[in-house]
Amino acid sequence: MIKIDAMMVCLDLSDIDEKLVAFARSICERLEVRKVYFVHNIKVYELSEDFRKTFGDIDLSKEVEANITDIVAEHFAGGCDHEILVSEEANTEMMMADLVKRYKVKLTIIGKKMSNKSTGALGSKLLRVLPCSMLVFPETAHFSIQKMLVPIDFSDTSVHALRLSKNLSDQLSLRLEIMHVFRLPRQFFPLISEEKAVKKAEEIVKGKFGDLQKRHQEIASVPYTLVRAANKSIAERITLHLEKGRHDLLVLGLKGNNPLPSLSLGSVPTEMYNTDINVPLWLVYSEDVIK
Amino acid sequence: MSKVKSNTHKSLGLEVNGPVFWSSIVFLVVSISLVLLFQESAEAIFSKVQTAITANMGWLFIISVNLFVGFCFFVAFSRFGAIRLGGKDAKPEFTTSAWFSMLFSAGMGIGLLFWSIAEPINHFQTPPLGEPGTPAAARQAMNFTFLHWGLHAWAIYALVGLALAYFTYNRQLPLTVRSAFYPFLGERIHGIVGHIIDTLAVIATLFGLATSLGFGVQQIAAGLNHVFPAIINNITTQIILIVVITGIATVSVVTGVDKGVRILSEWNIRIALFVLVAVVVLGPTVFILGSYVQNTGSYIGNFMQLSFWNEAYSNNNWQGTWTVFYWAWWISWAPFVGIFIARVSKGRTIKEFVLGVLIAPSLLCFLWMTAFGSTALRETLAGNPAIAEAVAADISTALFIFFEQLPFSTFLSVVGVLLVTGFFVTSSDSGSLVVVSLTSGGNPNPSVGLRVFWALAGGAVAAVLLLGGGLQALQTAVIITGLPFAIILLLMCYSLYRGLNEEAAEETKLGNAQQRKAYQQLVAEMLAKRAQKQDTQISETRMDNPTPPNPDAL
Repeated sequence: MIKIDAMMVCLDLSDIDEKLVAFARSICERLEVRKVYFVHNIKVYELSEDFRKTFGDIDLSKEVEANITDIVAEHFAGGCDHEILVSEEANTEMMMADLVKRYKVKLTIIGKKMSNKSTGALGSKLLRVLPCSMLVFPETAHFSIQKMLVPIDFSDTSVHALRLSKNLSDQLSLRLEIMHVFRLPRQFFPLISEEKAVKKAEEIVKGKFGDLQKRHQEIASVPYTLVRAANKSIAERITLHLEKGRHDLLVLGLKGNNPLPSLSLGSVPTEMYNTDINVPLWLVYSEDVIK
Repeated sequence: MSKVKSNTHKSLGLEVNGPVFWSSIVFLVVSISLVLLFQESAEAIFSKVQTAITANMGWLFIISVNLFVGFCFFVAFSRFGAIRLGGKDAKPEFTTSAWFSMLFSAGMGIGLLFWSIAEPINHFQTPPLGEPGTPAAARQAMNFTFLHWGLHAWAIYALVGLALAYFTYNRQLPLTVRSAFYPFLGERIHGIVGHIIDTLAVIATLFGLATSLGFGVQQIAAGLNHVFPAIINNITTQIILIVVITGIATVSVVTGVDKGVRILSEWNIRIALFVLVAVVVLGPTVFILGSYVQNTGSYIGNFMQLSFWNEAYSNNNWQGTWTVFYWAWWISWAPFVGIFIARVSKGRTIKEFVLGVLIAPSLLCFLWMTAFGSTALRETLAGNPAIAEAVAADISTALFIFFEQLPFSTFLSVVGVLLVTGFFVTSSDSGSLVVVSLTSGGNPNPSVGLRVFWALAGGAVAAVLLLGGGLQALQTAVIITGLPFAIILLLMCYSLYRGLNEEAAEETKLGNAQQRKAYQQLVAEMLAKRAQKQDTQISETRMDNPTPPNPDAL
């Protein structure tokens, strides 16, 4: 049974909040979640002087809390123990990171709007600074999850994500598929045909899968797909495969906090986050593996 | 935002920018005829002008190139660094390795092969400061070689490439030199001033290309003769080489940047890396790696002094014949290489662009210079005069004499000839593409006829100059154009700064306003919803507990 000690749901006062709260409830119903924190940081600096004058003496903090309480009452009925936290900090992502550490949050749920409506800048920052797993819920996603896709690169973090997915699929009777996107190091094969090089690369990857299955017997029965990146990025290939396979959940291993954030910008999780996909994206952070 | 304004018309069935196309051809024919007619006097005059420029305007070149380096770092690491060439959603057209291969091959591939040995040896024998032939002279020789082939050279290309890419992809102006002056000249860039700028760029590019090709085939022929004595180094061999190189370049130009030019550049870099690795492995490996670290450190440590040194307290004109000559040379090639780099750089952020065009090629140049130059210096210091004598006798065979000091020398020499030819083809095809772009008014898909015309024209000019003489005179003339272009480049810095500043200010304003509006709107909607809910609750409470009628009111 997958247990989550503490889960945080980041709300932004938009329409997506109701979906996020309802999604949190569906997680609580399926997994063992001890406590859920519904969080909103009021960006006071974003409110103009005129705006504040118009609304006079209203206690914004109380109003926001009441608003979240209403949403929670409506969409989280029957959910687990929960708490609503409203703050007025200058730096949202640092405040969130602080909450994750203070309440030992293991999973954070954030909403994601389509790229033409929002820059997603805060989400990208959270991805880099929060030391916990993240579940990104796009505004167009639905709650019913039947089929999961786990792209792996054979790193410890991706294998950890795979094992967690396997547990989840066993627990909730979901279908699971593993995917690996490989690139052909073409410059090393100037003398053999591309076809042969692809075949060789596939053999190597299959060998790696064989080793992985030997090491982790529990995933031996999980079907896997090999895809060549060719002229597309890994994230683009994953997106295409998601659409083709009609998966409902994408799970990726997260490599953790990077002391040089700009270096991790091109990483697959970041690229996937910035892509408009219609399924929830679970970025699995493993403290032990990263340590 | 500006819009594309077309200047193109049909001439001879080709879609061209008439004024630029025809004035370039007229200028080309007239100047070649004059040079052929008055060969010796032309060479003497150009030579005097060049000496006068390098002797008297050296300070301007030196301060300018330093400004270019500073400016490139400034735009990369300031708020402009995040601006993407081609807009927020633009994606790079080429993979990073293909992009790097193309800009490196067009930028300086060929020069490296000849000067990586000759230049350090020359500085070692006639150093600007101190005693010749000493270990100190060797260290100094590498410092100056790094200076001439390092950040400053690439900063010139990066500046022109960036300005053109920015105004082409972000301001929707044609891919021609005139576009970089839009903030100054406004719509006038489409008029006579714009035509003059573009014509100058066509002439500089074509003459630069033709003279390089002319001299290049002489070098290839010398190399071939050295490796295969049966091949005689005469005018027939050289003309055959021009025909072969021009033929391959024409095919490459016709197939376009994404096919011929890219594939050839990628293979050039692969072969160049192979040669580099072979020299590192077969040569004194530990010495090369050690001296690479030392040379790079010494260059970084002495960077400011080397960059600003101006021979002010000396009566020599060493700097005029080397450093200033190089700056003028790189600047005169900048329109060509800049346009080409701009053509292949869509979708890169400014930071990525500057790091890719400035740092990465410099580091590769340094490694190359060390592998060849430092090893040659080591041999000379150890008392082996073969390479130094070869440099003194004929620079073009120095590379092959150098290979003779290593195992598998014949194989390396053959690969060397292949590489030299490959780099000439890539210079030729990218140069022709640039001229095509300039004369077609920046058309991204110029007609095949125009491509073939300019690719063949480059070869034809080179052949005519080779047969009739005048290569040296025209090359000197090209270097003279470095002075006006240096001033143009300084203006370009300011023009680009203005353009980037406008965009960054607009974006910040728009971004902040949108973000603020979005969040304010969310809060306002939430408050309105709450107020409405409270009203509903109050009225529901009233309905549940209706106020009893006041009998007095009745």
